[in-house]
Formats: sequence, C-alpha cells, structure tokens
Amino acid sequence: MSQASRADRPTVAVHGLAKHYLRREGWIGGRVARIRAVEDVSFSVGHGETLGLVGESGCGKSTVGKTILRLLEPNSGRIEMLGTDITHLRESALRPLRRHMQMIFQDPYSSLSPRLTARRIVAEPLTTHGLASGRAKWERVEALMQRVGLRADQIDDLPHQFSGGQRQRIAIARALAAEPRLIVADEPVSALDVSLQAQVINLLTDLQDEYGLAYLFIAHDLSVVQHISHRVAVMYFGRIVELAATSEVFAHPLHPYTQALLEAVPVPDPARRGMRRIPLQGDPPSPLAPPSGCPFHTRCPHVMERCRTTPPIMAQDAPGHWSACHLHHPP
Amino acid sequence: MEGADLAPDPEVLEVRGLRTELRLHNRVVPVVNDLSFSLRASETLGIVGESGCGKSMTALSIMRLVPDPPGRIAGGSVRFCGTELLDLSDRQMRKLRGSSISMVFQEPMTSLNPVRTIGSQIVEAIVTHRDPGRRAAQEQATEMLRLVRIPDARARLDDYPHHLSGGMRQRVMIAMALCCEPRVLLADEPTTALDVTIQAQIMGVIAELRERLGTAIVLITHDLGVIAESCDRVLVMYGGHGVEEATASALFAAPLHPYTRGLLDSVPRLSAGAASASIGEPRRRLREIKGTVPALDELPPGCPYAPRCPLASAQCHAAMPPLIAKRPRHLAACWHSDRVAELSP
Repeated sequence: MSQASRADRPTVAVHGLAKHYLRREGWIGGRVARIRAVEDVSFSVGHGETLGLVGESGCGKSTVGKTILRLLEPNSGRIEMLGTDITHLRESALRPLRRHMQMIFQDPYSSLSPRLTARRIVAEPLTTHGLASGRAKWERVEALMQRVGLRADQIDDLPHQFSGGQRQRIAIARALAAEPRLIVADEPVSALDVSLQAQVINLLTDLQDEYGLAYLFIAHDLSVVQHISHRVAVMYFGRIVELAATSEVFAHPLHPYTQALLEAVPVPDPARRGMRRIPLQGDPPSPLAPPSGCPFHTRCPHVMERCRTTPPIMAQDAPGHWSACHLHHPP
Repeated sequence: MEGADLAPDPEVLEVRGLRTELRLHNRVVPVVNDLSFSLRASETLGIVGESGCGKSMTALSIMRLVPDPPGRIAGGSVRFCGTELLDLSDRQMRKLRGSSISMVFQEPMTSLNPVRTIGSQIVEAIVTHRDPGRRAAQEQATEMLRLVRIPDARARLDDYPHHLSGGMRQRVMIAMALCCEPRVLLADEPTTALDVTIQAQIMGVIAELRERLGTAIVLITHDLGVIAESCDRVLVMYGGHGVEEATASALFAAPLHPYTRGLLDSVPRLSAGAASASIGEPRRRLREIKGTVPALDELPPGCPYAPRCPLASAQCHAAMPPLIAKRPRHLAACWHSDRVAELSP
C-alpha cells in the first residue's frame, strides 16, 4: 500500500511496518504475551516535507520513529531510505546511510551527555562519520552553533549551563552536523516552556526550508502539529487510522478518533467556551487484551456491529485522504 | 480591607502581600514576591506562568507545605474564611488541610501510596477528618469514585494504584481531595501528564464538582487553552510576581501586560480553516518571546520581564511596577500597559 507515492523519490518510505514486543507474564514458565506496538504502518516523507505523527501516549508513535531509524528492529514490513531497502541491512552497510537519518528527542536534559562540552557534542557526528577533522571540524561546529542561535562564548559550556531551550538547540546542531536528509523529531518542544516553544519551532521550519530536510514530527500537541506539518498521520493503538494533508485532517477529519482528538483540544479563546461536545469516554484499550475488530470500537460513538468483528483497512476517501473506518467504507 | 473582620467575608481565600523565600548558598531568593489575590465560593481562578515563576510555590505556601529548609514564608497574609492560616499551629493546620483546603498534584503516581489499595487511602482521608465509622466511610469512598466517574466504583476500591491508568489515578486523587467537601481546591497542573482526551474528561469532572459542591478552585497551569476553557479569572505570574489579573475574557481579548501578550501570540492556534503549506514554501513564523525564562536567583532589579520586553525603558530596569487596576477589575504590573495594544499582531 503506497499512500503517498510522489513523482520524486521519497526520502523515507515505510510499507506495512510492524514492531512487536514479547512480554512474559508471571514467573518462570509463564505465558508469553505478544504486544503489537506497531501494526501495518505505511507512509512516506518527501524532500522538504513534514509529516506530523499524532496520537495519545502509548499509541506507538515513538516506536515508529525509532524503528524507521533502525534503533529498533522491525518484525515485518519494509523501510526504504533514499531508495535503499534498509530493513535488514547489516550495521556496517547501514553506517554510510546513518548520517542521513538523525533524531531529536523530547528531553534535552537526558539526550545530551552531561560531561561533554557543547563543542564536543556537536563535533561527535563529524568525527564518527569522518566528515571533517582538525581545524575544519571546529570551524564547522562554530558555524552550526551560530546557525541554531547559540552564542560563540557558550561553545565550551557543559549542558547543565544551558537552559532547556538552548539545550534543545544543541541537540538540533548535533543532528544537523551530519548533513541529514531525514530528522525524526520526537516531541521536540513539549518539554520546553511556552515562550521558548515558538523559538524552536521557527528554527526547525527555517532549517527545513534551507536544507530541504524531511521531518517526521512526532507530537501530541495538535496545534503545534498543524502549524509545522504538510501532512498528518493519526495513530491509535499501533495503527495509522487517518492520513491526509494537514488542512484536510483539521477541516474534514473522517475517522471518529481524529474527530474526538480535535474536539478535546482546549482552545485559548474564552469566547468559544462551552461549544465543545461531550468528550471521548474511556481509556485506550490495554495492549495485553487487544479488542477484536476495530481497536477504537470500545470508545467509538458510531460503533456498528461490523466494527466489533472486522478490522477496517486503510482506503482512500478523496485524493490523498486515507482513513481506516467502516463508516466511510461500507462492505 | 480593615473592616473585613466585622462583615461576613465573601471571599473564601484572600492572599495579601505573600512572600516566600528560599535560602540557597547563603543567599535569600524570593520565589513568591508580594503576591495578592482572592477567591470566592464556586469561582475558578487560573494561575498561569512558566517554570520557576512561583506558581507551585504559591499553592504550597497557602497549604503551608513549603519545604523548610530551604523554604520559608517570610511575610504577608493568607486568610481562609476569615482565619489567618499563617498564624495557625501545625496541628490546627493539619486539621484544615484535606478537609477545608485540598490540593491535587501533577503526578498522581507519586502522590498515591503504591502498596495500599485506593479504597483504604480514600477511607483514611475521610476518617482522618470526620469519623463516620468504617462502613459509612467505605460507602462515601464508593460514592466519591462514582462522582469522579470511575466505572465499576465498588470493585475499584480493592485496586492498587498501579492497576489504574494515569487518568483514573488522577480521578482518584481528585476524589480524595474532595471527599471532605473542601471549600477550596488547589489543583497544580492536574492534567499536564495526561492525554488531551483524558484531560477533557478530568476538566469536565472538576467543573461538575464545582457546580455540585460550590468548591472554589485555584487551577495552576502553563496551558492557556485549559485556562481559557475553565477559569473565571486569571492571574499571570512571572519571576515570582503577579504581573496581570483579569477576567478570562478580558485577559484573552486585550491583555495589558507585554508578557501576557507575548504568551498569547507565541502559541499556534488550532484552526479548521487553515490551508496546508506547500512543500518548500515558507510557513508563517510564530511570534517569539526573545531570551529565556530567568532563574529565580538571577532576577534582574526592576521588572523581571524587562530584559525580554519590547517596551522596556530605563524606568522598567530600575523599579518594579505595582500591580494596580488599569481598567475596572483588570490589574497589570507594567509601566507601559497603555502601549501593550501596539504589540498586537
């Protein structure tokens, strides 16, 4: 299933990706439970494009991000990076591609080594991938620090001497150092103070326009995702349930889960108070006891008999607008 | 304010000139600085601000739970239904806490005892303050769980905290906080750790309880959306000071402090009609507040926001402006509040 085949080759394309975890229940000899963290996920991200990946905690969005970077091994499916199938590539063969695929994490406190200076943190990918050495390397580091908005006199400071927003800038400089084509950004602004989020978001969009970076932008904050993304994929219980252009997802959400998610976002405008309908009830199902049929049927306000028995498959409702829901795809 | 002791006080909570300090490395750092606000029954006051602005310390000061050392309430007054809380003995304060004034914290997992059932913890909260007998307390606990919309409430009493999801745990915390029908509930980022769909459920539960029990609520959050949807009035804090106070509608429509203006402009707004940007086409830039949130031990003299403020003048760097009424029921601490409208996008 190729949901967004573009004329040009996508930076990354994922087909039918699955990642399962095994969990032994009880002590020795207990039953082994298979947790399907990610199931049949397909999408692509093109040059200069941001795909927003949204969903609630535990829906598998971070697992998708780590799996496409081969930080986790997929159970099935195919990952193509710049046209090369990297799904089963050995580490030595993967290495030349690694520099093109970088990650920015949510918590800049724990993703930077506390004992390395900013200079050495940013220089590390240059050394690892043999991209620069000696004087050229330090000049490159200084240019990167300046590009992400850090002062030259801070270059030999340790991470704890920076504020949260500045630390995230160091992480961005480190990701940029290897001249990546794809950056997986996993909740990159959610740990930052509100007044600093805008700075980091603007920096990310500027860098994308400048270098043609492809972003997989993983976040739970829908207003941030709407601002930064060209297309949005909505995940629930390990599956993508809707994927479309950003304007389509926010103006004409098709999946009842997407609708409920949008409904739940508090709007910073007291004049619109009370216009919200009844919020979605219940919690997401437990991965140890997955529901039959559509995983959303336990909370869905439009649940039908078929939803309890038959899992819906992704189908195209309008050009480029995909959803997995029986409401829109009668048998 | 002097005659307030004679007339019945309409305010359930009145904070005047509150000052809380931390002693760090032989220095005294004010974390709550000359803070004043009041709260009536059934009213929800939002306190909004970023990390280190003093909003959590304000709640802890009201509860007299500031860790000492290094913290200390250095001055001011906190009156609860006319009683000065800062003059009460520890024993009197313990009686009040949980029965008349309750608090809900951000992380329910660390506030619940992991090795006791939630039923026994709620029953304990009830029995500590009023003694209706075990059986009746058990009934009340079940009733409270029903009130916060926990399905199958009676069976849940025997669950341990780890059996429950984050949203369910936060409901249990709210049930515990409200089981003695307090006059005031202090909720410190009660939904920050939760997903939006669960946040909507929890905020619905809090609003319903306010209606039914007449509880006055102080809602502490950094989320302007949550503030807009659930608060009557809002207090904006920065660097330990209250910098603006107004009704929610006035604050969002026409803020009179440049920090509030900056906060409102820097968050992207969800909109159903926005067109998708084309790939490669520059997107609208968000308005930034320059600089970073100051650490409380590095506050500049004068207005704490001056180093980041586009309107700052020499006067701002020299002296902290007082929080005074600029319009009816709209207070701001800014020398240039008449020029804040110029900052509008």
